[in-house]
Amino acid sequence: MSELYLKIIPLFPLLAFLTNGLILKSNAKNSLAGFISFLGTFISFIFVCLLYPYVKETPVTASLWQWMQFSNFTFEVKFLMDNLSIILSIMVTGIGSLITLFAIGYMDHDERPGKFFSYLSLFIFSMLLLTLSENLLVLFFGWEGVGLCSYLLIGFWYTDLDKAKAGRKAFVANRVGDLGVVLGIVGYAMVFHSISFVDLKAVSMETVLANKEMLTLSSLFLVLGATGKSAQIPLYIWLPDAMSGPTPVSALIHAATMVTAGVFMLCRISFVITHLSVVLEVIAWIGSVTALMAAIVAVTQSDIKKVLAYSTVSQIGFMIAACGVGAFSSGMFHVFTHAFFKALLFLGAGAVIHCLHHEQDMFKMGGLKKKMPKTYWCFVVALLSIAGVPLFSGFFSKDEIMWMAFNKAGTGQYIFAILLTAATLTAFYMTRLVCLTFLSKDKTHHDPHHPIHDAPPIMIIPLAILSICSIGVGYLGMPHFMSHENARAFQLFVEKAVSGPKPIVYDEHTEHLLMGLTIGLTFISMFLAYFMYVKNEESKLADKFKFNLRKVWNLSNNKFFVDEVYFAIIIKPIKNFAGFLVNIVEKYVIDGAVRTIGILSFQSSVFLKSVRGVELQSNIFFMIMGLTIIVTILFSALMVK
Amino acid sequence: MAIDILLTVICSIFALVVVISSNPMVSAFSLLTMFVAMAGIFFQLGSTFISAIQVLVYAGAIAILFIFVLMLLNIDDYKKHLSRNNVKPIVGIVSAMVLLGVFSIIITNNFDYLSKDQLPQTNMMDLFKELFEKYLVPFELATMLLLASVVTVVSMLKKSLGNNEDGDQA
Amino acid sequence: MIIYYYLAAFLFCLGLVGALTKKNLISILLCIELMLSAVNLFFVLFSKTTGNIDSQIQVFFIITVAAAEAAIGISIIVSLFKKINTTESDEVSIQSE
Repeated sequence: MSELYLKIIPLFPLLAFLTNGLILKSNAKNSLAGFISFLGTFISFIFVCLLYPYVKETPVTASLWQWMQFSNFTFEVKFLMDNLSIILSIMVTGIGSLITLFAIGYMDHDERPGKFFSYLSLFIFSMLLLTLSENLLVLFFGWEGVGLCSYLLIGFWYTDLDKAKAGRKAFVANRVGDLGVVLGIVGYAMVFHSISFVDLKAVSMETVLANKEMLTLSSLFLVLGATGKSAQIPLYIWLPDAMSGPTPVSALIHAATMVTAGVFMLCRISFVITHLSVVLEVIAWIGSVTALMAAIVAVTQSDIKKVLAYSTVSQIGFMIAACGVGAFSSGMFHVFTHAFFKALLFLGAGAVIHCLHHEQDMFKMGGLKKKMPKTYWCFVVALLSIAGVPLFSGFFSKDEIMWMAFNKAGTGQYIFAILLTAATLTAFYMTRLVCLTFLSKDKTHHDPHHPIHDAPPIMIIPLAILSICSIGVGYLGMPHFMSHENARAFQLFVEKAVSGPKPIVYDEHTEHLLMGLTIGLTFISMFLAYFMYVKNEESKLADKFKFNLRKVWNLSNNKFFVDEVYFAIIIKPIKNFAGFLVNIVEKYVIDGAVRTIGILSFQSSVFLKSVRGVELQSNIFFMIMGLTIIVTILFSALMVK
Repeated sequence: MAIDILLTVICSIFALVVVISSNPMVSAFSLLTMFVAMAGIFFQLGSTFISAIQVLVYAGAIAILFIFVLMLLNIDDYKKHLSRNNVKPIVGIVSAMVLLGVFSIIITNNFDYLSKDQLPQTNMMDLFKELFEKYLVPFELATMLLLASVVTVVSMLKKSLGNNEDGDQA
Repeated sequence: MIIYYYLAAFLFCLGLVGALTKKNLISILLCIELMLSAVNLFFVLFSKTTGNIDSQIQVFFIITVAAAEAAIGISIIVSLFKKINTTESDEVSIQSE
C-alpha cells in the first residue's frame, strides 16, 4: 500500500500540469485553472501525510522502472521516502497548496492563468521528483525540471525585457551549477559503482578515505551545483534578479522550496562528505560568507522584494553553513522553519504589492498598518521569526546552527562570529522593512476610487495558516534547556536519514551565554532600526548614518559590485570571443569556405560551358567518362581487397 | 576453334563497318549481319535459345525496323554529311582506355578457359523454370515495359501526325 | 573461348565510340544496339564460365529492353523528322536552343 502511495504522489501535479497546459491552455478562467492546480498539489499533500506513519517505521522505496543497465551499473527510476524526503515533501506540497491558493487571488488580472498554473504544477511535480528521488540521476531530473520551471516563471511576463533577461540570467547561472552536478554524479558513480542514496548511506569511512582525492573533487563539483541552485557565492547573482517573476513564484520557488534543493542534496550525500574535512570547510565558509554578504546588501536595498531576496540568500547561507559544520539535521530544521516564515514574508509582500498596484519601492509605502491590519500582523509574526526572537521558529533553528558552528573544531569560532553578525544584520534589515512599509509615515499615492485595504480572503487565509505554522514549527526542535523529553525531536527524526552532528565540545553554560549574546544583539539591532526609521523619521537620522558611512553604504547598495565584476571578468571576455567568432571566423573562414565552393563550381561550369557548348554527344561523353572513372575506382578498390 | 576465330573476325569487321560508315543504310545492314554472326557465337557457346531469339528479335525485328524506317524517311541528303562524322581524338583515347581496362580485367581474372566439350549445355527447361519461378515478377514487369513502350510510341506518333494533318489543312 | 571476351570488350568500345561520334541520330541508335549486344555476349560468357544460369535470364531482359528502346527511339526520331525534317544531332541541338 505504502509503495502505491509513494508512486502516485507526483502524479497529481503532473495531471494538473497536463490539464492546465494542454486542455485549458490560456482561455481558462483564472479560478478554474488555479483550482485544478491547487487540487493537484493538495491531493499529493494528503498522500504524503498518509505515508507518514509508514515512513516513521521504516523508509519506503518504490521502483517505477529500470532505466538503463551497464555491466556493473543499474539505473532505476526509483522513489525513496525516508525521514529526510518526507519533511521536504510535506513542505513542498503543503506550502505549495497554500501558495497556489494565494496565487489565485494574486493573478486575478492576468491574461494567461492557464499557463501560469500549469508551470506551477510542473514545478511541484519536478520538485517532488527531486525530493522523492532514490538516486542522484532521478534527483538530477528533478533538479533540471525545477530549473526549467524557475526560468519559465521568472520570465513569465516576458514582454518586459528586464524580466526576460532575469530569467535568462537564472538559467545560465543554474547551468554552471548543473555542470558541476553532472560531473559530481559521474565522480560518485566511478568511486562507488552506485548512485543510489541507500548505498551512499551505507558507505563506510574507510571507502571514503581510500578514495579521498576523487571524492573531494566530485563533492566540490556537487557543492558547486548546490551553490547554483541555492544561490550561494559564487553563483548567487541570479536570485535577486529572479524576483521579477510573479510574487507567489518568488515565495514558492525562490524562497521556500527550490532554493533549498542544494541543502537537500548536501544532506543526501552527507554520509560521504562528513568524512571529507576539506569539503566541509569549503561549504562552511561559502555558507557563512554568503550569509554575511547578503545581509549587508539587504540593509540598503529599497525594493521590498530585493530585500527579501537577499534575506533568502542570507538564510540559505545559514543552512549551508550548518551543513559545513556537520550539523546537517540542524540545516534541514532551518530549511523547514525558513520555508514557512519566508513564504509568509513573500506572500505578505505580495499582498502589499498587489494592493498598491505593483509598487515595490519601500520608500513609497508606509503607514499601511492601519489600512492592511491583517497583513501587518502576519508580517510581524514573520519578522519575529526570521529575526530570531525567542519562542518564534527562526530562533530555534538559527540558534542551533550557530551553536553547532561554535563547536566546530578549528575555524568554528570565526564562522560563529560571521553568522552572528549576519543574524544581527538580519534583525536590523527585517525591522527596517516592516517599519518602512507599515509603521512610517504614509507616502502612498491616494486614489479615492480605489482605497487601499486588505487583500481578499483567498490571499489572507494562506497568510494566516502560514503565520500559525511560523510560530508552531519551531517547537518541533527545541533546545535541551526548554524540554528534556522532546529536545531536538525534529533533528533526531531527520538524523535517521542524514549524518549526525559532530560531538559537542563546550558545556551548557557557554551555550546559554552565546544564546544570550545573540538575543541581546537581535533586540538591540531591532530597536535601532525602529529608532532610525520610525521614531526619528523626521530628523532624518537614517540619512545621517548613510552620509557618515557612505563608502560602506555605496558598496552595499551596489551589491559589492559583484555583477559588474562578473561582467568584466567573465561575460565580457566571452562576449568578445563570441564577437571574434561572429565577425572574423564566421564571416571569413566559414562563409568564405562556403562561398569559395559556390564560386568555384559556378566558374568551372562557366568554363566547361564555353569549352563544350551544349552538344548532346559531348554531354554524353563526359557522362561516360565520369562513369568510367567511378567504375575504375570501385573496381580497383575491389581488386585491392 | 577455327570457327570461333572466323565468327570473331566477322563480328569485328561488321561492327567496324557500322561505326565507320557514313551511310546509315550501310550501317544498318552491317549491324544485321553482325547480329546474325553473334547468334552463331551464342550457338557455339551452347545457348541455343538465346541464339534463336538473337536472330528473331535483334536481326529479325530491331535491325529490320531500323532499315524500314530509314527507307521510310527517305533520307537522301546523307551524302552531304558524308565525311562529317564527329571524330574527336579524346573520344578515341577514352574509349581505348576503357577497352584496355576491360582487357586488363579479363587478363588478370583469368576466366576459366573451357573448351567446347566442357561447356555446359543450357537446358531450355532449366532456363524457363528459372524464368517463371525465380524471375516471375521481373518477367511480368518486362511485359509491362513492352506495353508501356507500345502505348508511348502510338501516342507520340499519333500526336505528331495529328499536328501534321492540322498543318496540312491550314 | 577467351577470345569472345576480347570480342565483347571490343564491340562495346566500338559502340561507345560510334555513339559519341556519329552525327545521324539513327546511326547513334544503331551503335547503342551494338553496345547492348556486346553486353549480352558478356552475360552469356559469364554464364558459361560460372555455370550460373541467371545471367542468361539477364540477356533475356536486355533483349526486351533493347526492343522497347529501339521502338521508342525510332518513334522519337520519326516525330522529330516530321517537325524539322532532319535526323542530324547537331541540327537538332541548334534548333532546340
